[in-house]
Amino acid sequence: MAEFPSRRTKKSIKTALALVIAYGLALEFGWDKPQWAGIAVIFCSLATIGQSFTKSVYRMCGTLLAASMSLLLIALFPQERWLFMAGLSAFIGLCTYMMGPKQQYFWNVAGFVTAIICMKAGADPANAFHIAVLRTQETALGILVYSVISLLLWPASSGPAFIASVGDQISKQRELVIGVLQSVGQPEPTAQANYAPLQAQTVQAQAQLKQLLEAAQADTTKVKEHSAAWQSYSSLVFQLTEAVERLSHGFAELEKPAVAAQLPDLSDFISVIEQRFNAMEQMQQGNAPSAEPSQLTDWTPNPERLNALPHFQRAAIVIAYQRLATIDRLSHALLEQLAGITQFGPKPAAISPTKPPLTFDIDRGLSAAQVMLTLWIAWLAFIYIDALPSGTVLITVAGSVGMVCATAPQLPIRKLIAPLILSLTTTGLIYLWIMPRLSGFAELGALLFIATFAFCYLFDAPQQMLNRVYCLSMLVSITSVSNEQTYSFSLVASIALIFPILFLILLLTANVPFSPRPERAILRLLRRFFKSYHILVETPPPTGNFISTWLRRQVHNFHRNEVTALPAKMNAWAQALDTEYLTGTDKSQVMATLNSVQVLSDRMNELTELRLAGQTTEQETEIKADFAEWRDYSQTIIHHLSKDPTASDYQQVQDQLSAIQKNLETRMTEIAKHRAEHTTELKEVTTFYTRLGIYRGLSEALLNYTKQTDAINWTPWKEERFY
Amino acid sequence: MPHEFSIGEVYMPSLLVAAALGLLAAVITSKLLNHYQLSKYFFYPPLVFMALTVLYTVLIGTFVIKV
Repeated sequence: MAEFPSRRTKKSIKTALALVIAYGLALEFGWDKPQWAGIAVIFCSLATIGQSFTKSVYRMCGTLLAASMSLLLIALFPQERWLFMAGLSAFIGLCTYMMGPKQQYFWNVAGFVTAIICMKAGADPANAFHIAVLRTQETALGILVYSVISLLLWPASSGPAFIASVGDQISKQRELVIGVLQSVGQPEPTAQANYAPLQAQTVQAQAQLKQLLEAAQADTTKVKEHSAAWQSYSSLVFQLTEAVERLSHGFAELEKPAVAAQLPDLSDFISVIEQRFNAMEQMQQGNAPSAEPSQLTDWTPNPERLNALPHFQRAAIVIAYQRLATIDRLSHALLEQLAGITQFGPKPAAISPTKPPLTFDIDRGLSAAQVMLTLWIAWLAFIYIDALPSGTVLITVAGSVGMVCATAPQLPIRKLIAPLILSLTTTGLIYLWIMPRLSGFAELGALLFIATFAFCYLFDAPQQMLNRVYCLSMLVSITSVSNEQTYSFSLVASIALIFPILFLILLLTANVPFSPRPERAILRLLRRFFKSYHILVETPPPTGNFISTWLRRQVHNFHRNEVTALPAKMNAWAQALDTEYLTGTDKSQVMATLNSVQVLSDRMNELTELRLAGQTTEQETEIKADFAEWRDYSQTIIHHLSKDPTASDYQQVQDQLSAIQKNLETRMTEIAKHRAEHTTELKEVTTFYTRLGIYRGLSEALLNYTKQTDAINWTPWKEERFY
Repeated sequence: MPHEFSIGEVYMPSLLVAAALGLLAAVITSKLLNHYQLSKYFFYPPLVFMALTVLYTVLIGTFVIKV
């Protein structure tokens, strides 16, 4: 049975009501600029109390930082406009850079609110403190009003949504893990077709889980009580998906009949994993697991069966065993964590998530530079162009819109035009035709309620977010409600004229320093990827704690971060790719190429982990020269790819790598005969074959990349076109 | 002699109208150049786009609107 009133009706009523009350209170208190309270309501109104509360905290803290920073800038440079702007743009640039995966909204608010306060108060330093305090108290009022409304009217806690998202994640992850395990040893195209959509769904489900966890910690006591355990659970979920991905990337190595025949019988393994997921599903629903999941024992390759295979195939088997063991360990840890949380088992120790080392992110640095440039152009236009519409408003809008555009560079500026025209027309009509006919707050309140409700209700879908944000923001900006209400066509016209000027500035800065065309961005990121890749293959990670290695470690961390983060960035750009102008390119080919880049990234991370472990075996020392030849050839290819990621000859690379691998295989067989290898310790054999397997995986991944790039017609990618 | 455009009794400078039409004409030209794969012959299309906008604005302003 359909819910009545529907979720979006309730949400729209709550937002509209909170906005009207916030306006009413601000006007009653005689505060100037009540639209600031309205803006806080609009941006903090989310589906659940926890989500709204989390966003409100970020907004409030960001506003407090912005108020303090604005007062500091005004106090430092009261009569020096260039230094004032230098300080302001530097701070907004810093905030843009900090808009990373964590506290993104806090830094966004801190940046654009600083621009608003500085531009309002800069020309009127005597009232600077008053303006900063006014902005803060109006934001607090908006947040307070929406919080009260969301608590009293149809309160929606994040708890049930979070628990439902855990259920969704368990079911999706189960499908993925089982799907991938069933594909081990199968021909690769079949296997890939099985798990590719599941992988995307799982990634989405775990991202949803992480997002709702933060909200549920804020409004659900049960979740807050087990906060550390839920964090560990979330971290394990991500690790398990990554482990499954790594296993799936090695399918090509396992599909050979000789290798597939040596793999253990996975039916027991699959059955145990399935039992664990079943138990987790039952616990998530509040029921005790019907049966205790069994444990896997003796999970090591048989040395005798291993010796029957050629060396490279042994390496593939060793790696496959290790990956399966990781999946076993992580799925067991997940089960334990959930059992501890749901009190169906002992409470395990919380797992502290591994924090990636802090490194400079080039793309965020570029975004910061673009925002600073946008601000400076707007500032120069304000100073040197007479009668610029709305004066300093252009700078404040440049700050807020510029920050959003710079952090989402895939969004073309032209996509902002239609929502702008729609919002300007509707709110302009409300302001010029309806508002002058009203008298008293009752009528004004009714109008604001109806307009806000309509915008929230009509543009509720996530893909309509731009329309919703624009319409609501324009509603509060253009109506500019105050106790002494005035109406002027020039206000609408000035606001309408700001945006074409701003869009021209944004079009200009989007081209600095690189083209915003998605295909160009992908090529640029590929070059960066292979450049970092080349450095990582060439230079082993620095070890030791000496100060002299500090700088080398920073450089290493930077390149490792590049190799890890760039595939996801390229994927984001690929979504914006327009294949209409790229003759001979299919989107699926691009995705396959980017998937091969992801495999390369995973392999490099495995190699780095192995190098950091620092284990070397006697066998490695004996074939050092052969290993070096192999590594040198891989390095040569990667070096070429760092110059031009599209210039590779699949056939040539395949022939050369096969020849090197054949030589290596012969050498290893000779050495093995010499040393009566069967007497060697299994641990040492495993260490050696792990390293060999990772190097081989790296070569295979490189070969796969060259194969994928061979299929694409790169000429249109490099040609110029209007964007 | 300079004159203004009146749209719904809203008066606008003729240069603004010429610039808006110039921009529109430049957008249409760039789309056509992309469609017929002629844009590859330009060294840097963003600059060409700006130049086209200015050219069209001047031409429309001089011969059509008579700024």
